[in-house]
Amino acid sequence: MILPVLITDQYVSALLVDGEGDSFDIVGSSFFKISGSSNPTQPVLTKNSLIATLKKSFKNFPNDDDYKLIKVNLDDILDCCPIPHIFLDHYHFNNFNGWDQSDIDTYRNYVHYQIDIPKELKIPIDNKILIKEINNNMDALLTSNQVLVVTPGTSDIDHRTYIKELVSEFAQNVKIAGVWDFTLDDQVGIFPFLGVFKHFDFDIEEYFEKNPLKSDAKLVVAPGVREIEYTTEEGKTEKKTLEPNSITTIPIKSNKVAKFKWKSPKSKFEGELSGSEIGILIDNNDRGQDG
Amino acid sequence: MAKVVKKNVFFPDKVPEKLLKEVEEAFPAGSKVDPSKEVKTEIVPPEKIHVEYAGDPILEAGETVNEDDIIAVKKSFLRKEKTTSPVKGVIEEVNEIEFIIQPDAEEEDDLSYSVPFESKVKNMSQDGKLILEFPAVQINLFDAKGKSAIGKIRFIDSEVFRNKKKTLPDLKDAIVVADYIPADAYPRLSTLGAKGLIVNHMESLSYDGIIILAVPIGLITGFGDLKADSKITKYLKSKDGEKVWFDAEFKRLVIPDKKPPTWTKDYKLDLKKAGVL
Repeated sequence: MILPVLITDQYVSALLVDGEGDSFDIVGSSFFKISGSSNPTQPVLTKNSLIATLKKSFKNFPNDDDYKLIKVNLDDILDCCPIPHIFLDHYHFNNFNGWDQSDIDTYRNYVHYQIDIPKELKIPIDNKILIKEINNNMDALLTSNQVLVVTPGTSDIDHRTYIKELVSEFAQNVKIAGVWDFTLDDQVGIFPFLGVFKHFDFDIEEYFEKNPLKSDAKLVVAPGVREIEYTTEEGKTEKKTLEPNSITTIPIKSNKVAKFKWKSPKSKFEGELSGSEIGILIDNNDRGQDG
Repeated sequence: MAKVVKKNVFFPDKVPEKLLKEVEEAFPAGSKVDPSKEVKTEIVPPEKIHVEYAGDPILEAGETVNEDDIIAVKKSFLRKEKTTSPVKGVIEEVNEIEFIIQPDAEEEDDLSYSVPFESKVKNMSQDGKLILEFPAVQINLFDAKGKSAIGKIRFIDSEVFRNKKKTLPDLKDAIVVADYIPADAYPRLSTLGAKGLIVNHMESLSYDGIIILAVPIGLITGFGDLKADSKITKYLKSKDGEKVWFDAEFKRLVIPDKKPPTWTKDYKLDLKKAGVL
């Protein structure tokens, strides 16, 4: 068995992988926040304390000789992910331009005491990182319709609300028409997962082509569209008028597909779209000349 | 994470190189030591030197001489031949062939050593540090920067720092503890002789702005306007005047204490009371 582990100063993400030959199965995953040590002269997490915690997390943890621990290094693994990804690491943020002094103090206290950062602080952090990441990854975003959002420490807040707000922030910063599926990874499982591929020297791109990620939110950017028509798998056709410059949710769930039709001077579409956990978000905000 | 713990602490104390052997003999591993015991080394006067000269002496026995001073001159038709002193010292004797000069003893620093705290000797490390062990109360700091220091706790009312008209007290050798000080008060501390500063809270930008670290600075609770923990404050005030170790490297304040109060065993901050949450 393989135990790929990502360790940061704030959290640990680990997978238990059963694999040999050219295939593998993930039999367990674990994410936990590291609590500080009372003894600052010693490391917070030793190998023994890590294994002891993981033994409690995983059922059927193998005996000592039956697994190989692989420490995943974030710097090495970030470039291995074939899907455009945005790492919203709320614990390691330092671009405080425009922040109030008291918000900076609050944020840094929360990070130090390893308290979950409140949503009111997460959203402005998300926005800053999103702007930068979108600009850095625009080429990849144009050619891919999947976006992986890695956001450790958001398991405490309502995912549906959070991802809706996150996608809305993303939409504000994207200037082109298009369709994107968002997957939220709040356990940072992607990085140990990539560690497995690296270890076995498997083809990562081929894997993700055959196994697309589950869609937690689907965003359609359709500038200027005022009316859409869609037909569900059950054969029901609906026409919907969209409020101008808004984001409207169409209730098509994951594993469901609907046929869509719309037209505007800047956006035209006729085809099938699959749903997501929170439905399909249609953003018809005008994007100016480039949208 | 415990804010305050009661534990045995190891303190590595650098011993002057010239005293290593004596200290190791005087303070063997396992021995109990305290600051009253001092290890000194006797100053051995340097040996007298004999300087042969040519010509006539121009200095006499009993006179002091500096290195390179002329002590004798031989005049010849074409030139003067000079004899100079190779050392600084006192001329003990001048005879027909030589000066006998007693060189001055070199000024020695740190010819004495004593341990800073009542403790037990663990051992002498290979890099010349005497490892001392003693029971203590350890306050884990939120953050700290600068070099570690030993000094006596001086609890100062923040009002003294806020009010620029107030004269600051003599803070010689003090580890100053206060609830808060404005950032512009920090540079004054080293001029007053303070060895370190520990505050309960400070604004993060002010704290980050302290770059020239004349004395180490530490925070107990955190950034922003936070309330001091009453138990910790009361304990620190009770230790006013006692010698402590501000270990900035590991972000802790170590207070030697043979009988610490029971609450210090494993004490966690109430973050809500402190105003963090």
